[in-house]
Amino acid sequence: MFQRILVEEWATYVPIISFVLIAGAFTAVTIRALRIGKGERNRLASLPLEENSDNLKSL
Amino acid sequence: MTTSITYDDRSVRRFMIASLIWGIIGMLVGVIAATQLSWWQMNGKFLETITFGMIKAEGISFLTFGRLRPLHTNAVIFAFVGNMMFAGIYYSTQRLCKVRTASDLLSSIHFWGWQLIILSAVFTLPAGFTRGKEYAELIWPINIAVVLVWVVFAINFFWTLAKRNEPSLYVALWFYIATIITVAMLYIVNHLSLPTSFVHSYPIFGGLQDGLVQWWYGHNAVAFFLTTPILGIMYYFLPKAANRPVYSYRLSIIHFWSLVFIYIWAGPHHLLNTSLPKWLQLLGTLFSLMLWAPSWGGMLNGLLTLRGAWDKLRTDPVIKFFAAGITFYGMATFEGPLLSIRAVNALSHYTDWGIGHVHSAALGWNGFMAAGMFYWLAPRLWKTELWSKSLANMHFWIGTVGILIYVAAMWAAGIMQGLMLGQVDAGGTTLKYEFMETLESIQIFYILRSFGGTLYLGGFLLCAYNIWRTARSGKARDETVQVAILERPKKDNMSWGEALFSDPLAHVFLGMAFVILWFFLPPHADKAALVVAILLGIKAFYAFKASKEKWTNWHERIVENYLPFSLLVFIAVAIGGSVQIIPSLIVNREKNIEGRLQELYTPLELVGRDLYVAEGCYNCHSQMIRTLVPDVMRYGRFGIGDDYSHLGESLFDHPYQWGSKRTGPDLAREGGALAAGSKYMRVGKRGNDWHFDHFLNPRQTSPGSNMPSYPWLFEKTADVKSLPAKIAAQSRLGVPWPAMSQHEIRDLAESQSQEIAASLVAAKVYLPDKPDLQGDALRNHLAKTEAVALIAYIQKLGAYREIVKDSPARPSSLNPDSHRRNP
Repeated sequence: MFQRILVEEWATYVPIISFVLIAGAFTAVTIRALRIGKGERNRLASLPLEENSDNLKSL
Repeated sequence: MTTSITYDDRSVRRFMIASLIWGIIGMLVGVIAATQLSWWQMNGKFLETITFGMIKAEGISFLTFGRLRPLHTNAVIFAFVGNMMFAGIYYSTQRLCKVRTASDLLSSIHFWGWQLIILSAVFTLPAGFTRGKEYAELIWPINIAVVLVWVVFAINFFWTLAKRNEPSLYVALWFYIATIITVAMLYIVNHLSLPTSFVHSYPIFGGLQDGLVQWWYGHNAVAFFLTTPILGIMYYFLPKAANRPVYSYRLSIIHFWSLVFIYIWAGPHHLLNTSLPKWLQLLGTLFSLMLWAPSWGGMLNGLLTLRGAWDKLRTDPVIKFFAAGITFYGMATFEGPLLSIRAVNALSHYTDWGIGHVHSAALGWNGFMAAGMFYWLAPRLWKTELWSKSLANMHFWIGTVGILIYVAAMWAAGIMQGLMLGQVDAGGTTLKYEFMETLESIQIFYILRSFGGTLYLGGFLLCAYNIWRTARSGKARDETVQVAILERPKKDNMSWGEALFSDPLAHVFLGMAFVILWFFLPPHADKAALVVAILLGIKAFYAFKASKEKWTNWHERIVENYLPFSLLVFIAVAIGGSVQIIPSLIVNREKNIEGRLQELYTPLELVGRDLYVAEGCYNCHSQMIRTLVPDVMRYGRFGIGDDYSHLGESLFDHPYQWGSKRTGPDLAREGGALAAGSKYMRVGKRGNDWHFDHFLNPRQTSPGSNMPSYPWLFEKTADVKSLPAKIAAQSRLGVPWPAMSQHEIRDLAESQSQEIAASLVAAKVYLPDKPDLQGDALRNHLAKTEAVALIAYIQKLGAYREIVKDSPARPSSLNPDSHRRNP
């Protein structure tokens, strides 16, 4: 399909291949991120807050 | 079951203190280098004034801009940000994994090894020992030390992950994993060299290949040394400081995977409008523009984490620094893709606009995130309060004003000089301004830049003082906590097959493969590929319906299994690197010479070239006439069509010297043909005596020049002895040197230096320090000096021979309606 728009050398295809790879990976990751459960999402997001290292005198 | 754990906070304190010390040194060197561009005397002559004449020198070698600038960049990147990054990683990893760092010994080796590396850079870079590649200047023994210390760090980090008591890897850890893996890959590939002595080597790549590998590394040093670890730090420390979880965990997943997948591809945007193959330029632009999305996703995720905590901006310096740092990240990552658009790049590249861009990121993003983290960490590491919030606030405002002055000055200087360099006179046939005129017109901005940088350094000194007083007011103590011990089956229990060949991943990759085939297969076959891709989509849908649980849980399971996760990260970054580098390695030598093949250097010219690299001339002079009309008009030769720099002209250059900034003019066509009656001596745009005077004092030949004087070139003896080893090394790298014995090499160098020295004596040159030296004595003295070797090299620049191909490609017109090539 797109070969008729682009020109000569095979290397010219590389940006298109790259774009498809990225678009595919991006779509897959987005779907995955959207499907993650709320409970799990909140648990993972709160990981830095779980441990309480704020035992300094006061801040 | 629970256990008591004492975190290794000593390593965190050490790295933090080291970061503060090296930060001050690196920034101070930067300020000195900035002033050198306004006042040439800052290259050593100023010592005469401040020592009341005890030290007399027109210039001092180890203080010149060409040697200090690499020290500045290496110090702020690897010493300041590096140590800051390690402090953040060691602190947060232990807490996110609920375990002490795996090995105190490895932590100590990592810390002291890294400091020794930096210390060795402090001595070798000003001494002129360099590989001549930006941010990769350190000599090969130090490169090996860097790799070894990095491996120690990696072992310690992954070992800690393996021992963790929390099954899930938090998003900050993902960014650390990406940093460790990718930096190792980039660093090793870009530092592959063939040593010629203990302090010198040649990169194994040359010309275009070297340029591509260099900017694949250079760009991604920014991405994976200055960005991803700091993003990890943002994802850990910002929620801690704001006391609320990250705004969107979903967005953090998309942010991470998109960033690591896209960032690595964008390197070629550093070589736009050069003779780099167009598909690579397109790749660089395309992926740079795509970077807008993940970068801004991350920025918004950071800023929105502060929702409901904005009131803290007024009172909490930590939040203040974080909010400003993330905002600068957003600004810099908006500007970066903008500069990667070819039309914008034509104006911005080689000017100070690029300098403004990197400093808005380095000072605003890295510097402010570091400050925010230090102010948050110090009270916790020394169990006390921050010594002075007021001082921290003052640091913030001085720093912010400093950055704004710096960046605005560089934007103005870059755009102004870029426009002036491209401006033609009323007739449209000649350029309106000489290079020197453009340089003089931006001097005020250079002074403002030095002022902005000084303000920023002043703010950072306040930070260091504040942290020091905080440390003194408290007591260093490692934190002890109770954690639940995690049993092995709850983590790292995914098989490799399950990780890599599970349904979700297999369907995604297969689907993408067939969509690619649909693009490229010939008519009819492309339709078949499309049908297969659609069928795969349908199959994926039913597979999803049949085992929803498996699909849903795959990513959650991956983040509980650090080894498969790390492998996926490696695959993500390796794909981008391979696509850029491998095709260039395959096609470079034969196809990309574009009808011009570089003339080989003579032995003396090679000595001169190594001096050019050692003095850091590439920091200010490019050797690349871009495929742009103003570039060709300014630097090309009269009467020669398409006189931009063709790829074949630098084919044998190890390292390549295309440069990235023109504080001085391009030198690609500085050389010329053999002089009449000479066997070796060439004369280019200017005579040998002009270069003699120029190196001695550039103001003699170019009034208003800010180039340093190089008096030591007329004293030091050119290193001819090491030529046989250097030529042998180059031959092994594929440079077609003719077979020569050691004596022939030295005789050749001697003959050429005598010719050049004789021409200088004939032109009645004069050495101010040796007024009595004349005639043969002067000739014999000059023939041995570095100055003559450097002149030999400069006069060779741009020498090539035409190569006529058997069936040269001919231009053909395109049909504008269909974009199809006319039959």
